[in-house]
Amino acid sequence: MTGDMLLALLPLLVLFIGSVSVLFVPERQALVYGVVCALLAAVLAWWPWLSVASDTPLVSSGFFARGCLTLWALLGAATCLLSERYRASRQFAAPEFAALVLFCVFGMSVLSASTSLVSLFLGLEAMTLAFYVLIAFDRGNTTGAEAGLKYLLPGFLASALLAFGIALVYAATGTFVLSDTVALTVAGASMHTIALLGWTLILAAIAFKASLAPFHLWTPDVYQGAPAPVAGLLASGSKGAVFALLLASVPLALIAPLRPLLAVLAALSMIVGTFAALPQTNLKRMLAYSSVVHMGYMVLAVLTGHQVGFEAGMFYLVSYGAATVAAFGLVASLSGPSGEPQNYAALEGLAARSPWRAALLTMLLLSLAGFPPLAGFMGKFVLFSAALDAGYVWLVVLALFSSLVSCYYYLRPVMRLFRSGQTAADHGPANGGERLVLGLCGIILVIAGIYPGPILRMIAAIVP
Amino acid sequence: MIVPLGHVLILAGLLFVAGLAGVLLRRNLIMILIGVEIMLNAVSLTLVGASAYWRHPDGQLFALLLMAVAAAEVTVALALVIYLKRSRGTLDVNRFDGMKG
Repeated sequence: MTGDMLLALLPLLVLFIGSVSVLFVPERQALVYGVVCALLAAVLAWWPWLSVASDTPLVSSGFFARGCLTLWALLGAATCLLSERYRASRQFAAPEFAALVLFCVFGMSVLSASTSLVSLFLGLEAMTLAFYVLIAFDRGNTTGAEAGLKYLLPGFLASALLAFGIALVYAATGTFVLSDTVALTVAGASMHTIALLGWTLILAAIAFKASLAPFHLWTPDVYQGAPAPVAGLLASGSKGAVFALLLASVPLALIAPLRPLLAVLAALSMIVGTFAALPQTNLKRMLAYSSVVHMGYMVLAVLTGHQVGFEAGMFYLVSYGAATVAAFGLVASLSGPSGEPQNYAALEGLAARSPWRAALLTMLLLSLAGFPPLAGFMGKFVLFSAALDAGYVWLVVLALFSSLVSCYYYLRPVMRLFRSGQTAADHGPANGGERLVLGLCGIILVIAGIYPGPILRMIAAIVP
Repeated sequence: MIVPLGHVLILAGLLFVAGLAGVLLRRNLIMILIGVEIMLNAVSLTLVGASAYWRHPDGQLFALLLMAVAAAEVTVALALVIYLKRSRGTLDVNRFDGMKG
């Protein structure tokens, strides 16, 4: 361990030390302290003297790893800001909540920066362990513990599958280094079948975490029962970190026998997610099924297997992440002491009660559906054209069809917003933190849709 | 290596499938957790066997890390088990069906 390595790990260390030290901060300042730690890590990741830092054996400190760390840290800060009022009406213990969010961000950053199967496993476990507790955090909510259980059991199964897959790949190739294991498998290592079986198990575990059909069954229940800010982090950050890993350091598409499996996962996610989302009348469940569809689109980026596709995937991830965090953030900001307004019926008349939030929710759902000129449209455009160039015509046709049908289930809640309703509202005006996060997400969605050049150039500069 | 790697892998595969069957077929939460533990033991066995085959210690180190991670996982799981038992009075996973759609 040299000084250079410590420098390279500094942003991760800030997140880790922050997550331990926040436990000693008083209740009222804990969430603000969490926001400060996350932002500090995001800034340190781009501090100039870090550019000389060398790679550590387990974690990369390249531009891509740092860009991802920045993204996850911003998501963590947004989660803390969005939970301020939400937790006050539910008596959450703020220090523990902030500590778990920071630890979760730490796990995501290790995961997306991992250069070895060991750090991949440890990062994924660190993230998942924090989520087990965060999902069941609201003890006053009877569905919270049930949601925690429904994340715990698939999570355990996925960890066991991932660990066995890693062990088989290690048995076949004799190394844990990611680039070497992939190269040896492609070249046909001595025990090729065992290596392929290992990669298939790893792919299944990743499909669990990213909720690709047919491994998506936990998603709607967990989203419905989890506190809204946590569901936002789960939907954007945890899935984003898994896909960042697939795009940057585990080019699964290079292993030819896995390509049909990836294509089937993508196709099934689009079909199953679309048809399951159609009859939903609960906003959080609808977003859960729609996230299954979006993850199906993301597999297209993995399948392309080249630079342009990976850049399109990262851009799509940013546009999807901003819209999802803001959607769950809106649910959090609209919930009062009696609960979250999850059903479409509870959203009736929102346009009259709080026009700004109704307008923002409309914009988010339209962006997820892919209406121009919002970020979702631009993301789908670059992603689908990259997949077309890679020759996956039938998958792109399927994706276009499913995004056409998606307009129906995204527009259903939007119609209800503008209908006059008598439902009594128990939510107050948005506080400063909520306004900041929701406003920023809205601005990102508009800018990425109208003028995506700068964001695309930034992504092109960091994708390896 | 006295025991060939193939034998280790077959035993580990059988253990893993036994654990998986326990997770998928049992309805009691504690039994499901035991199934997961058996699956993780199969993983440790594979790692140690492969480590001996390739003659370097990486696999054994990972097996040690795996024990720590498994202990942490079970700690969280048992906390949830106690909470669910107190609030619902049952550990049958089929009874936790409050959400539908």
